[in-house]
Amino acid sequence: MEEHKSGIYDVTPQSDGMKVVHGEETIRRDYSDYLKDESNIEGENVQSLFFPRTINNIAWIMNEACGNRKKVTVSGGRTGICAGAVPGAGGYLLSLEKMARILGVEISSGEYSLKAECGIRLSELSSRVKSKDFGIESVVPTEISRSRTSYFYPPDPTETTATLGGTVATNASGARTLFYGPTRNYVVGIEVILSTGELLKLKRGEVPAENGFFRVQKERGRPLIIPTPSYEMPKTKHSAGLYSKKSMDLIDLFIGSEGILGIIVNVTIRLIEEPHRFFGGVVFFQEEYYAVDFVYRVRKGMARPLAVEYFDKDALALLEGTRKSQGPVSEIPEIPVCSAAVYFESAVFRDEKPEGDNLKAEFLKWKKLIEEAGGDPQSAWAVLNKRDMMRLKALRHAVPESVNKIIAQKKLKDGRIHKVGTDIAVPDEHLKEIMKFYRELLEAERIASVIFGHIGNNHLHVNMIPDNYDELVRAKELYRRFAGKAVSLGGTVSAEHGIGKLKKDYLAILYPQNAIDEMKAIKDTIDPLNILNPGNVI
Amino acid sequence: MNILVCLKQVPDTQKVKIDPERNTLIRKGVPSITNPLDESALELALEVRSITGGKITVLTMGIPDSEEILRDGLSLGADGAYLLTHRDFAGADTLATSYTLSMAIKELGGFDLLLFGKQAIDGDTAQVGPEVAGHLGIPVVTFVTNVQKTAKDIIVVERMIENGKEIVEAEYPVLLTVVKAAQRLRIPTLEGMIKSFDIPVHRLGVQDIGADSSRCGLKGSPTRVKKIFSPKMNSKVKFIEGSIDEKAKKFISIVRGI
Repeated sequence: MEEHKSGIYDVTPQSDGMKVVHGEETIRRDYSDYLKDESNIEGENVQSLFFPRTINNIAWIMNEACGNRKKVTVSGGRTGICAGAVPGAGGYLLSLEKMARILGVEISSGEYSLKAECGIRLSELSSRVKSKDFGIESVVPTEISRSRTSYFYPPDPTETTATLGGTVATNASGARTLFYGPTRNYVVGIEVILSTGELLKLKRGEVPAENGFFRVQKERGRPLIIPTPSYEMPKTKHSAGLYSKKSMDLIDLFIGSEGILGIIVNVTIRLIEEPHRFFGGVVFFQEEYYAVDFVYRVRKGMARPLAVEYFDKDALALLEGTRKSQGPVSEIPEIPVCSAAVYFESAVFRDEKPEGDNLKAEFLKWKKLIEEAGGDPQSAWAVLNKRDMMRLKALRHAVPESVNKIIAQKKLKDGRIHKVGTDIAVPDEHLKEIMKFYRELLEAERIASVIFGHIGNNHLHVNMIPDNYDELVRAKELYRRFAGKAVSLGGTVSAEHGIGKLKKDYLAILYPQNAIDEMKAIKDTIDPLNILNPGNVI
Repeated sequence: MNILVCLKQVPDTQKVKIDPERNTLIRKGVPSITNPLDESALELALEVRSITGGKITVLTMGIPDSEEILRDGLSLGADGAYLLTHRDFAGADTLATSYTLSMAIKELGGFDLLLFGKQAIDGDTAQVGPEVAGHLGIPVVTFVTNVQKTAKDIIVVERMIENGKEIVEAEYPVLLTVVKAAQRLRIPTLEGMIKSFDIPVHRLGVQDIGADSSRCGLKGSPTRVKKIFSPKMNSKVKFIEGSIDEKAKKFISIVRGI
């Protein structure tokens, strides 16, 4: 892979080979998918839709945008649910889906890294890493091609059609974030087209904050000086607003910035050795309290979970309903009668023989924890083969899908109705308290809901399903109260979905005005014309 | 009730491609799974045992790696597992496979109910179950969807036929081939999983089952595969343009022309 020091480089603008669609009418009629993401909100007034194939193409678009004073919205896999990729102020829309090549792989000081264009889908990336068939012309080092070791890229957002660039721009998480951490932990380099059309190259470790500023050399002219944020982030899984830490790296300011600072065009990621064998299970509890207690015990215990996920009684009832109405096609197994369920996933990390003994010992650890927490190992599920693992993954995915189906029906009655889904996380010690708070308020307001998600990170999604407009208003108010409570406990208003265009009100609950002003100052320094992704985050 | 379930490890055919030059299946990198219809047979066995009590044995013939699918069977509650693995078994067609399986079944002995998936998703022959019944000289009921009743000497099953179903009563021992069940294979319980690690998978070779090696594997297989290929698809899309009336007229003339 070619090596360049971090800095800002000139790029020759070129429009060659790029598909462009002009005209609001045509775009709305023939390319309406590009105006939406999973939030189902549709953008308007897009005058030109670009499908760049090269960095030079993007530089050309930015030149045009600056010259013509057009706003630019960047779109990846459109799997976000906060409308980050939805054009908020018309102008230009860039789909990066044609930039999806792997550019190189290398091993340097024992670390295996891969560089790819931003538009590659995570599903494609992971299958290429697994098969070691990268589809590249450059030579793959023999340490990789000949090695029998299997490598992987740990971030596992549920939507595998998400693009690499999109997941870096949003610092995406997944169920295994509990063990592996979010996308940020695996990004070692990025290349970003700035609003000026210049290319910013960043390698982790090369541009640290010094005396309140980041200083980036330019190929020509004076360096770019960016102020460092000084506000304190919650000490939880967190994805709301720009990253801020005392001694931070400039690369971290861009990761999770939701596109407001630049267009991430190339990403270098770190790949790690895949565990020898994954295994998992689902434990069923007669009381929600026991399930929560189980999570506390898991944290203290010997078992090392990769993921710990929750299903409350309403989520389980929804799954049972889907199973009965769809029959065997649903792939949902019959769930024992219970009030709460916890999914866990773990792994045997090395190929130790005899394998059976290791696995038995691992499952015995879980059995002990289950018994101590008042669960029943007779009814608990345990899975080892890939197909069963996939079935459980599908089971988790089926919860939000089922909610969305119900919401779609409610929407027929009243078009204003939508799902009110939280993305709140709190520090470990406050899980019980926040759960109690959710329950009390949901019961008092009598709004249908399901609670599910990443309980291992104290990051539960409360999905409220309003039946009418009055309930919608009350659900939104509940969200605000949940967010306020979480912040008072040291938590965050968004742990993984980001802020996008829909959750800015909650950012204001999390941070005081001066923190948001700091974000604005950074934005003004890097994108002074306020061209990029208007309406996102701030 | 002494129940036998035969399982086969197959490539996940949803992920298999055909090498267009050699006309063979590209198996590299394709995950192996338990044949889905064999999973239906196992689920049926578990349901029957929950009513009648007794024992379930799982049996397969294959490479040493096939032990995985037997382990899956044990984790679901099978009581014993046997793996027929030997180089003389390799390359078997349905005749050699059914001979080998039947010799193993005779050796193990004493089964009341023998369950097979209707067919395997790799070969799709649907021959092995009925051929084993032939070798053993016992009745066979194919296309079974569920078991309606079990009594001391007889079993009543429902089988799928064209335009309906048929209820069949059979005496033990009987071999059933099972179609995709209404109920997907259950997920192992934690207790079942833990218990399964203590159950050995017994490996059997040609001599262990007293088989004639000239009737096993490639030597015992008269079938020759000449070619495997994907059928060519000739479907074409034609867009009909114009107003609704014009489109309707054009469509009618196209349909009449066929």
